[in-house]
Amino acid sequence: MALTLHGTVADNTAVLSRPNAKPLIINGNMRVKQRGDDITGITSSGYYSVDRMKVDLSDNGTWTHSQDTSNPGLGLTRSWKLDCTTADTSVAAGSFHLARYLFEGQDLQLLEKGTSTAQAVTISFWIQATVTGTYIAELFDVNNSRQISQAYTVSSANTWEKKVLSFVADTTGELTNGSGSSFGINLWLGAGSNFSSGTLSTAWTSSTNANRAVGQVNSASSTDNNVYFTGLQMEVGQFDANSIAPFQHESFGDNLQRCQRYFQKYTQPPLVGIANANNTYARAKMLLQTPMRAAPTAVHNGTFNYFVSNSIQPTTTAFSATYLDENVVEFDATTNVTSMTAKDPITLTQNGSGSLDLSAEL
Amino acid sequence: MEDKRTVTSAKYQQGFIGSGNVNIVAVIEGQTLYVPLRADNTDRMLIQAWEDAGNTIAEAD
Repeated sequence: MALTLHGTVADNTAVLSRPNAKPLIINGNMRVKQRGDDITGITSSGYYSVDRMKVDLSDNGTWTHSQDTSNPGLGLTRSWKLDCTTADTSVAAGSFHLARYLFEGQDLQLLEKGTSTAQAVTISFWIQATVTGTYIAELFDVNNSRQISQAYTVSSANTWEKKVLSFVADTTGELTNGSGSSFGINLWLGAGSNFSSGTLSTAWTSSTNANRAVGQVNSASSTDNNVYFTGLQMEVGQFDANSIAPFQHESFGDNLQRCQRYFQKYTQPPLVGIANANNTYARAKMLLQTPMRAAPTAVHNGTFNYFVSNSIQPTTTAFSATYLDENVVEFDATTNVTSMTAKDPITLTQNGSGSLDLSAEL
Repeated sequence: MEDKRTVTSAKYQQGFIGSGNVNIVAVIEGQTLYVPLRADNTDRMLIQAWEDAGNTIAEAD
């Protein structure tokens, strides 16, 4: 296979010396969307549509999140769309809106943050936004409440633009080597004066809210406004638009499996179990297809049918989690039909459009 | 940023076999969640902050 080099020899060290085998950012091409599309009425923080992509949002408009087919090319066929559906034309002091990507500390030990050999970091992404002007990108060390910000410009409305932003190393504050939230990329979309009234913090420092997002435009100024992101990547080292390594594409299957460490959605969960002695409920469990980051929160929508036999398929009247672990989950499913016999093996079949969601997000 | 999601209620849940509290059934942002008793779960962290603010998780039935 031919090796094609671009730019200077030094530029090409971006790929040749990359210390990570897989992209540091999971689902940076926005292909996986287990939670679905057109998630409306978003006014608060959370994960809504495209996997691993979070917003922190408070009092800065109402939004709809989707995976979209608008893209800048280069094999990036999907984007994360944030559509303003209720504007906020007078941003309150405490308002904030950030698109975020959060990392486990154990996955970023290669940054050697907080040591004398700490590494610089470069982030790159494509953005298409209706509102032009100054935007703020921020790296945030959750463990040590330290941050660094950098302004960038969206020059043309509703046009894909690639941004490459390099940040110096931080020799203060080590990241906890564990599975908790340690480090985040924050792409600000709106900021009240509590976050913008000071001087932009362009060097690593202890976080002072007023210095985090100085100059940030208000993306919620009109219901005509949209913001799209795709091609989000992070590289170890300092790079510019010429030297940044190409986006690392993964297969959809690999991408999905990495996302499932944090969220798993089942429309037909493989729950099997045993009917209880009183014949009105059964305990059923399933092994998770990917071990999760932490014991997950479970949310159940819709109902299930027991399947005991062709003639005995009662509908559940209650469904509750009894055991939640990184590797296995267990539920009690209740029915008011007493036609089961104790110790009957049962399976649970989804009835209708319901789902079981398991979340171990950061 | 501070997790500003609203916890409406939280109640311990026991398994039918009675092995003590197994989860917390919480209503957060209007949705019923089954939250494990594990400190590394972000919903458990939110409930802990809700407790720290003076609220109490109800005992199981």
